[in-house]
Amino acid sequence: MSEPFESGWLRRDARGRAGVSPAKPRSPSRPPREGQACCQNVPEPQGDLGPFNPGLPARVPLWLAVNLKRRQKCRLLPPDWMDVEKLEEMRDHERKEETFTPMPSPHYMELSQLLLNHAADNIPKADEIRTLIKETWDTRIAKLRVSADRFVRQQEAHARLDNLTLLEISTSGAFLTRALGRMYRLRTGLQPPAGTQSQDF
Amino acid sequence: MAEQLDLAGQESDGASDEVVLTPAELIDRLEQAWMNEKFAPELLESKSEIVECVIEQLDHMEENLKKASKGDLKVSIHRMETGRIRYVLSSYLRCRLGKIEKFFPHVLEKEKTRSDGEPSSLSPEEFAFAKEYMANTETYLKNVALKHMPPNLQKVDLLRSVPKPDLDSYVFLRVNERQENLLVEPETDEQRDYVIDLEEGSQHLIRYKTIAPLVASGAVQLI
Repeated sequence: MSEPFESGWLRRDARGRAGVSPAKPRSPSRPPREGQACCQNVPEPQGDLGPFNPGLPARVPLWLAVNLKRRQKCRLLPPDWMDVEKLEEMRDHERKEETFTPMPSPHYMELSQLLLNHAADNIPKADEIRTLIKETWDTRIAKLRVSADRFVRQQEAHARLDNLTLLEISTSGAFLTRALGRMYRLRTGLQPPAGTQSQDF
Repeated sequence: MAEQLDLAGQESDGASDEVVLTPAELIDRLEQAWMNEKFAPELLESKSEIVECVIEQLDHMEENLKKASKGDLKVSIHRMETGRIRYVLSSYLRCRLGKIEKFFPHVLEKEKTRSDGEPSSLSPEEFAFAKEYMANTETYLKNVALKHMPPNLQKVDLLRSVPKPDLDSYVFLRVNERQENLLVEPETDEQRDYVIDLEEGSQHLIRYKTIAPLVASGAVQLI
């Protein structure tokens, strides 16, 4: 969510985009700035980027990869796990296990959504991957619902949720925590603090 | 690039905890503070040194951007990056202001009763804001309604009439440092207290009150 995303692989494509971006790559022609030698690294607070050389892959943050892709300045290399076989295995494993299985990336859903929406042409078998990830997601959300239900029924005060990703937590998190808070108050017989309902200044 | 790193170094030297942070670590800290603030029911300790560092760094970068030539790929990347960081920063500050507006009498009360050694939960600016907000609310209530009331009803105790932060609410968290023997209070009277261990990297759903000190110390991260 707010963490810097795991980087996608990024490759500058000098040949394929000749019609859109100048065939000559731009990086080497960048003027040196502030006494630096002509260096192709782009300094960033979240770590340096580049160097960007035509044809060579570079690791960049996801937001930059998507932006460059939208400007048709690069080709994206999908992460290793974004592969039909691996994802099939992952889905079957997820269906077999009672508990949540570890995901290949803590942001698997966000990553695949962004990559598949913006760079489907760079990902082999994009449609199959989309379906597989959706199936895994559905299985996990169903598990989450069941366990939330159990949590509420058994009136637990603590639950452990390993391997649940941030996005999965936020889909039902806000609702669940509020509901639990209300139920706790009802059960412990506490009156809501005076004025909760009426006096919001 | 070297210049930027130096600058971050100087800034952190000036800050109270005297840790030299790289810009990346600085942003990480900001994001941690942001998420904690978003999910915690109460107003957390003010991270003004982080905020100041980030603002200084952003100003510096934007200054450089103005000087840089237009149309450069670098410039647009930098601009996006500053935009992203600025969003997190303002969201963090706005979230704190929202909590101050919601709980102002309690926030000010806590500030009043705080001993000297304790870190303040308000930055000087936030303190000024809270005081002004309190004064304005009081004036408003008086002008609109209270002064038309019978004399014995002309007082309103804001501390009692404004809801307190609900520390019993549930939060999700991830553990940064292993914690042992954490006492979990039961939901109902029939159940007994029990202790749990929080292992590093594990994720939990638990009542905020139980782990509030761990959030403050950074041992757990709210998610």
